[in-house]
Amino acid sequence: MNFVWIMIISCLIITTFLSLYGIATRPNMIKKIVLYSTFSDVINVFIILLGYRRSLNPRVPVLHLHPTSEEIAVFEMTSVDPIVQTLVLTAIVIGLAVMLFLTFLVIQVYRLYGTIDTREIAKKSRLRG
Amino acid sequence: MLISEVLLAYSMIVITLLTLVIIFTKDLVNAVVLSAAQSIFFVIALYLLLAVDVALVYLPVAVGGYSLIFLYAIGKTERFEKVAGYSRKLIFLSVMAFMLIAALLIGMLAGGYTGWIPREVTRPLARFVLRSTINHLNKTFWTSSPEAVSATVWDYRGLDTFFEIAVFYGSIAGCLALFRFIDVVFKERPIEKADVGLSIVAKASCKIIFALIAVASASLMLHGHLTPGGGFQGGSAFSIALMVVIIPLSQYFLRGLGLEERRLMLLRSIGLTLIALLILLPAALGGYIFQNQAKLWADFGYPTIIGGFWTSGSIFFLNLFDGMAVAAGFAIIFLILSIPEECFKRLMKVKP
Repeated sequence: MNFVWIMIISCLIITTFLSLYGIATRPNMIKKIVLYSTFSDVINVFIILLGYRRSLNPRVPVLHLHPTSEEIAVFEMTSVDPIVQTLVLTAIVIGLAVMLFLTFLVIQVYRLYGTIDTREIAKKSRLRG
Repeated sequence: MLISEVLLAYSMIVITLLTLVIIFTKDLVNAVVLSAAQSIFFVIALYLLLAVDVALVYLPVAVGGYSLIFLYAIGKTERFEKVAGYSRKLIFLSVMAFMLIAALLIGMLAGGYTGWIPREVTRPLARFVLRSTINHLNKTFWTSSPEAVSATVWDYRGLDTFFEIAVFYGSIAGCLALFRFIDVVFKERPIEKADVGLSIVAKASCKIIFALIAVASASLMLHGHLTPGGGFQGGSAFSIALMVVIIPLSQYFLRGLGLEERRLMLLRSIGLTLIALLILLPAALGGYIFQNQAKLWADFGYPTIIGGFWTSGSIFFLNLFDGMAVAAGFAIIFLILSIPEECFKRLMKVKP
């Protein structure tokens, strides 16, 4: 059982570093944004993983409308953490907002410079002073 | 060993490999499509980790929304990345070696020193939320919503959600500021009959798909306080349904129906104003901001059942208005993205 979790966590860590590497080295801005989305998704999965509970039958944090006190006790002891899910929900929406604005900025950069390659933008802006 | 853990490990491996391919592919369209595929595996992972609400918001946003926005951006800019060619074999070998070493190192670290696996008991705060959200016997901290995530979003941590809405609103305002010549574009070039879109087969099938997605998103929005789902999930799913209409029928179809930027902005503002009223009303009537159910020290409470329908106090209405605002906001983004780029370039007097 341990081996599977080692696999999962090492894949998450490797993906984090790979996407950071891509953001740093790829010159194209859209490629940078795509890899940034991967990066934020990996972080979100990490946070969700913190709230996961490894019991025999973990359950989704949803109950029905008229639970008895026994059902509530079982729900409390078997359900996964709802608070990290809420935080990730907020993070996804804010990430989306940031991503929308970044994409629009890239379009604006292309209108002004005629390229979205960061190296060429650097050259052109140096020429302009 | 549980089958869900094995499936989770499998999707993580696929995600890692797809990241590699995305880094080294030169065709950006290729990268975006692969990124959408990667998002599907993220959705599977989130579902296996029992974060159904997050999976539901992630599906329309990452698989639909991101891909469409990136594809539009590629269409407006350039398609290929200009990188000096690497030898493919070298890339493949170096990446494989890197992965092998990293996996071994991290695996040894994780297994030998920390041995981290998810724990079997959740935190006290989570247990408090789970215990009190629909507790009929002890109503001190209850929210009357059986869905603990929606209860946390709109009741226990309502101000976080308010911040999130504010950021989303600001980002859409910024996007509109960058595309601020819309009115001039349509004054110069009025809507013609020629702008009709794809063939009749595509149009008819897309109308059917639109109806299906619209029903699903309405269900997500209206039952978000009882089952997984909520305002943001439903709203973003509905905006993807609008996108399914825009591509085959062209943006002029929506504009002909009267759904243009100003009206959508009005719809969005109405939704946000109603949210603000709902969260400020308790403060005016002796409660506190974002209050939902009556507390011992604050007597105001929204009714739990209205006309036989369980509304969970204000959570149902907040979900509804948030869904409205989010759908309108996304629709604005997609509408301004589907205006041809030449119009803007000419207006901004950019040298070609």
